[in-house]
Amino acid sequence: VSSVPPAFVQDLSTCVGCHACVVACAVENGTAPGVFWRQVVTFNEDRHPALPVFHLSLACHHCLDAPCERHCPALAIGRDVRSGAVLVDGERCIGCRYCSWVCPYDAPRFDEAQGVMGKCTLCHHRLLEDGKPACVSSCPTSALKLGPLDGDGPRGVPGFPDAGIRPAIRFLPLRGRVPDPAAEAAAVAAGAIVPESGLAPAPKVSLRSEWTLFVFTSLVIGLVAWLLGSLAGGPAVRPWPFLGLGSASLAVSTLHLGRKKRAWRAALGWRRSWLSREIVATLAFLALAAAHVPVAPARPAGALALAAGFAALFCMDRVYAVVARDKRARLDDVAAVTSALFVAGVASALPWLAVPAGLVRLAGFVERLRLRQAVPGLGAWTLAVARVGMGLIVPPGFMLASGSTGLPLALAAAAMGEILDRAHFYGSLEVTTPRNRMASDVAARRLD
Amino acid sequence: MASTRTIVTACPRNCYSTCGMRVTVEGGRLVRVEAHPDNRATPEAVCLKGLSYVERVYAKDRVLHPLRRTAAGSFERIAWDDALDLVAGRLRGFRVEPQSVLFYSASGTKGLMNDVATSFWRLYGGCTTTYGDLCWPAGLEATRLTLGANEHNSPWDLANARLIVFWGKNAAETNVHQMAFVQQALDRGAEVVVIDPRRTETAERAALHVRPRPGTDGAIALAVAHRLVERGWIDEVFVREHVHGFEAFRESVRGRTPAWAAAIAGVPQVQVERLAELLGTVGPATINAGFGIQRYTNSGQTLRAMIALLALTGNVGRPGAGWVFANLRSHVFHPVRDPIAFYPPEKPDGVFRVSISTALLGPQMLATADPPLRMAWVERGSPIPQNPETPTVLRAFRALDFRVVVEEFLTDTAREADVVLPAKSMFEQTDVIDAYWHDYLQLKEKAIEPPGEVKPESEVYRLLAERLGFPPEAIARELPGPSDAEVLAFLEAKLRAVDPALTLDRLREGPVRAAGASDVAFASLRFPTPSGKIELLSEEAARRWGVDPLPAWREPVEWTEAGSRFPLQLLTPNTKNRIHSQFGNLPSIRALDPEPVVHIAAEDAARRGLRPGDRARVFNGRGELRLRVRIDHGQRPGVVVVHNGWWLADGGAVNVLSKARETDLGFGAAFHESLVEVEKA
Repeated sequence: VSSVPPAFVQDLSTCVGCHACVVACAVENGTAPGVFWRQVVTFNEDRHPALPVFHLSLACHHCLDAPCERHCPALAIGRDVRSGAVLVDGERCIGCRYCSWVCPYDAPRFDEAQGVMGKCTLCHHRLLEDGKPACVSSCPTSALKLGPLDGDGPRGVPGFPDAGIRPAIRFLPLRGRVPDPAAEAAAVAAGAIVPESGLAPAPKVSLRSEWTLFVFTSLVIGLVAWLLGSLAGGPAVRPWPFLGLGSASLAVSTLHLGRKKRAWRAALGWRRSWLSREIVATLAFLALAAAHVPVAPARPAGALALAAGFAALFCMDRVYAVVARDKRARLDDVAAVTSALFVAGVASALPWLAVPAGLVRLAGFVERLRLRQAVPGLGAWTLAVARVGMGLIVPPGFMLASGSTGLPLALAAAAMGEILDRAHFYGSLEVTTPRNRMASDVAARRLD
Repeated sequence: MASTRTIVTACPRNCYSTCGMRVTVEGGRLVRVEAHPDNRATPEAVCLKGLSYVERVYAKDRVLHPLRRTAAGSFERIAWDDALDLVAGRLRGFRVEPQSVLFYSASGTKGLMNDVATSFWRLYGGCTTTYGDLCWPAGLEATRLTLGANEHNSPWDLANARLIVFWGKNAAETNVHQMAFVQQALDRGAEVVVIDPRRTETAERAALHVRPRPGTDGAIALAVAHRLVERGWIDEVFVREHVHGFEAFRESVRGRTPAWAAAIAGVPQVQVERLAELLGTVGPATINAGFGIQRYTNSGQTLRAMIALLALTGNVGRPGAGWVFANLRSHVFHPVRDPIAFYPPEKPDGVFRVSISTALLGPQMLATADPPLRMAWVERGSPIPQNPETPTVLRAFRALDFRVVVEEFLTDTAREADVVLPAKSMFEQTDVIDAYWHDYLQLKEKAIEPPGEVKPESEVYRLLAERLGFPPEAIARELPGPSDAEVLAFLEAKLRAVDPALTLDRLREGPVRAAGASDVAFASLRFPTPSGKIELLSEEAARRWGVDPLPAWREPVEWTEAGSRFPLQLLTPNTKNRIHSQFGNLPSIRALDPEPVVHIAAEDAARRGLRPGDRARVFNGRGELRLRVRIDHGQRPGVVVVHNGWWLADGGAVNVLSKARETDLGFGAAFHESLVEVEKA
């Protein structure tokens, strides 16, 4: 019994990008129309003269260090012992889509109708009959094969993120495919090699698609900040609003799931999944807060709730830190924690807390802006100015004024700044996919 | 557990590959399509379209019962009895003048069962039909005039070539199985040349990629011939023994220098010279010509010039060499082989009025008189978006009193019908098909029962014949009954007439090569031309078509008519995603290819202020399309590309821009030389 999968072996010279593998997979596995578990990603689709055109045929590579398996909160992903395939168990999956965020190959796909994830199974039902996966047996040019696993995965192949997770795939390199040198010289001279921003692949994750997560995380950050601020002398926690918002945050978070009735399963993966830990810690925070808040300032219980709250925020930051991303602002890895500290510092009028935390937040925002590749439009500039203005300039001004009306206004401004920041965070969360990696690799002319 | 069966079949689409297939049926439902390994041309796998049949057969929008147009213009479901009564009633009325009925069929589905249509219309008393073809007549005729027959080496023989020229053919998309043999040749050290204004997937394999102005390939071929003569790269023994008219041809290309061609085609002179050097010094050489390249008003002559290059260099009749255009070896079922079959009959039979040129369908339908057309019956095609001058074709159909369209889907043409009759899919009736790249005869065995109320066309004709009161003995003789056994008996008789050894049982074992098939065409070096040689000089060309008896180049007609007004040349190539207008409506294909776009070179886009993703008007004096812009840095400037096969309903039917014209040879459609302008919408 071996749990090592065979490797897909694709000959880049022989592949003509015909998409038979893609359709064969869809037919064999009966995926919903338009849902493909396999994709063909083309290098240099716009045909810049100095670069070759070739195609990667990608699905799930059943990585030996599969992040989808490790990070699944519902223990729904595991390795099939006989075939070595990494499989999603549709009976356990809660449809949170987090596996597709941590996979740099965009392999797990959401099935709207079933509300669960699906992905390449290596056609283990065919393999076990000693056959080949549908994609392999449907390749008209025999460019896609199955071979023994060898090495830790491809390095330096444009469009193929090297995430160090040992994907079971190999590429046979392009043979004798040199673009016309004269055309190359002319193209370089003419400056023809430019990124085609107008047709850049749409980002996989956006604020619109993830508004439930935006609301959930903002509420939890706000509640932790409220509790800390209250314990540090700021506005007191008012039980019913606090618990009402806590319940709302949980309710909104379940809206995100494809299978809402299975939401409880999200706690099962706490041993290895940050997402699961985030859920567990958030539940603990709200439970402890519920116990603490009505009986008012019982300090030890409050401290316990606070510890759980910051644990939840720490996990929340880890959840996003392990997402497959090319351009990740390092300070975003502490975004939730510092955001809560900053708002609490403003609420309790403690400059020694608010100022350092606020500066970290500002630095994180600037870092994120700097990493954004696209030229910001008017909306982005407005947001940036508003965020900086609300979050940083206004509160200290009010604090200096320090009147009885100053503090609430400062707090509102700080909170608004943080909410804008959080929105921007989701809007710029560029989850790595082979498709957008390919686009940026062409733009960078990174060729090996 | 439902029963599982495997059935031998083959794909009847109008496609080079014509794949042998084995399909799996579980509990009466088609679940898997695979390649039949005994078809050596397509042994590994079928293409994405073949795979998508599982989706196509069970598509939600498939027409599963007869439809009738309502007063409000939509369609309502009607019972077969009502549909047949309605159609038979109209046919009875038009039978006073049977030739007022147009029977129009296209290339949508191959097979012998299609012959039933002709039998029906003959019993009806005749009708009006078309001659010519949208697809390939200019090339067929150029080949017939030059080599005497449309045959070529086996697909797998390409692996023996040392030089492979793709002249206007993008095999990677339109004949993907050929690429396996190209790769074998490359791995043995062959060189590939691609001559195409686009940087296609095929061009990625090319050592030399020439991007000529469309319509100028003939000039390049003549200049290559000039260079071959000039440099002595001629196989003199071969030419002396097997080529007719060499001296006259040599004289005629005296002034056709690489510089002359380079100026016309807008390519570097060194590329023309390099092409000549490769053809003159590397062999065996095969030239693969595409079909798109021969849909110009000068294209028959262009292809004659291209074949001449192989004749001059002795690249005919041996392994790895030759002219690959169409291989009609397997076209054994009809007494007259193409392309003669496409010509209007020299002796009309008084029954069929074969009077409308397919290339001129719209204008000639409107102009037809004595009697004028009043009804059309359309099957196996969607002429409204696919024939030249879509607006005229549409007007011609709307001018009729009554239209019947037999279709699987509500195509642009079906949407114009008064009655839509559901068409069978390829899996719902047994048939036998030929091919035009390889030489296999293949069985297309019935695999599933027709879904819904679908009836195969042969059954519909039989039911109409009974309603129209055709003589019972004629019906019994000419039109097979509806049962599977009757269909099989009909086919067995057709096979027996051709070859007593050819039976359905034999075909059930797998594809069978046509009698006389060999891996090397013209291996005997005897050519069925008047001279028995390869004819560079063709008296028949001059007599029949009024062209120069030698291959020559002249400007496409559109350049001289509209050249100053519309500066861009429109190419409308096929993609891997469709066979003409088929398959594009399926959800999977649509997900891969969601909308029609116009591909434009960067400098042409910049001059017009167009950016990727913009909407643009692609227009000329005949019509316009509004399409999203894609920049293509590999495309020849001055050329814009909109893929063929989008429907009017998609907003991408390319023939709203084309002109109904015939090719110089063979009654083909010269609808690829359209000039257009593009501007921001």
